[in-house]
Amino acid sequence: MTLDAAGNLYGVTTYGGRTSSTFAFGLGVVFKITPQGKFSILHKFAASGLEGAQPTGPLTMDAAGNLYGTTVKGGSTSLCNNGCGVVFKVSDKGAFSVLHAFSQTDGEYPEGNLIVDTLGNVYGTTVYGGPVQGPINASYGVLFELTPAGKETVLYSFLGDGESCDGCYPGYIVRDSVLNFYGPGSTQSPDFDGGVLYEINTSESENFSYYFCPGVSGLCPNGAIASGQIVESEGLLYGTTAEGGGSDGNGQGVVYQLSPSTGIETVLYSFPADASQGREPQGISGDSQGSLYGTVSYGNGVPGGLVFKLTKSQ
Amino acid sequence: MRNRLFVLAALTVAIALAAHAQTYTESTLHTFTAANPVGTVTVDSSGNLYGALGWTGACQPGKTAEECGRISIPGGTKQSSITSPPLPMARTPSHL
Repeated sequence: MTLDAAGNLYGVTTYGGRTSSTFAFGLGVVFKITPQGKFSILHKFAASGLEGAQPTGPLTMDAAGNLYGTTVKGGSTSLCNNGCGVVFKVSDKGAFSVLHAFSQTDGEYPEGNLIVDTLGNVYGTTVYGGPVQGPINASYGVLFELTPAGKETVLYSFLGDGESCDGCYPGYIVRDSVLNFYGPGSTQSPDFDGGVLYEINTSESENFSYYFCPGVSGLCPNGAIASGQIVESEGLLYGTTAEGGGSDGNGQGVVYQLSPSTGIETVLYSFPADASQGREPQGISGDSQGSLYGTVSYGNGVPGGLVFKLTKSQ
Repeated sequence: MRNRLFVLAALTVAIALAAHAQTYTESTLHTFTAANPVGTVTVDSSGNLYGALGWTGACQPGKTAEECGRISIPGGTKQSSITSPPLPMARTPSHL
């Protein structure tokens, strides 16, 4: 969910809206909720799929109030099995345009957040796509830049060899004050894929990788499977892992703090192994006081979940 | 590919924990009994939280906020309810 200065909320639904034979559950919508609770649809994705289909990531607002988002499918009818996904732009009045439709070699399946800089350039990742590599001719996702006109530059193609990869299948990213990008990704390690937090620096090379629970199977006191939204503050990264934590490594995930400058991870909170505080935290948000927020579900077929807050000691 | 590579074992993490005096205290702001929260929450400048619920169990499109749950507001001065239809489902990659 994205907020504007007036308190309006904006978001997307992955399904619903217009339907087609290809997208029987709908192609999704972009919606707005006013502070008074009035709901309206800013855009329904066209049944043709050419405007994109199935938006998943959060919307990002620029200084002029335009919203930017992604769809994981659509954009074409011939590529990537119903489209490789798009980056779209929609005004707060509903004026919609496709900024870029991916074509697999330049990215496929964007499902994380976008970053829009003051010049209107848009940055994001795709889970798949990019140059095919290795013995199985696979691709592992890209970090991309779009100009305000929609011209794409692949800033980084994640690397893999068919058996393992480094930061591949990226999703959420953040950018620090010196313009480095950070995000969680996968390793596809044949031993245990605890995930990785990568840094891609301004020279557009992968400069830093912190591996969660490397070479270990099952017991991960520092967390495993990094995923979800991350936050950067004062040179430190905050995020969650879906598994691990606790003194025996059997926890239900952690909230971590990571210093890219030292490579030191600090576990701020471990979700108990008995899942009494939920499981699989889904990313982190922060406020100006340094508090962290997130959600967990109970899982195992038990409906419900909770909203948690981590308050920093003064 | 990497100039700096940090592969740290649990022991290193334990040392790091000891070295950082700053601690965080966890609190539960709200518990949902019917619907699963999807993703994280958005925080406004006043400390209000906004989030979305996936439909599951008793929380289906058309149900009320009470049936789906609410997200509480720090300070407890008001509550913000999230009702259907804006209930994004957890995404399932369709081509895998």
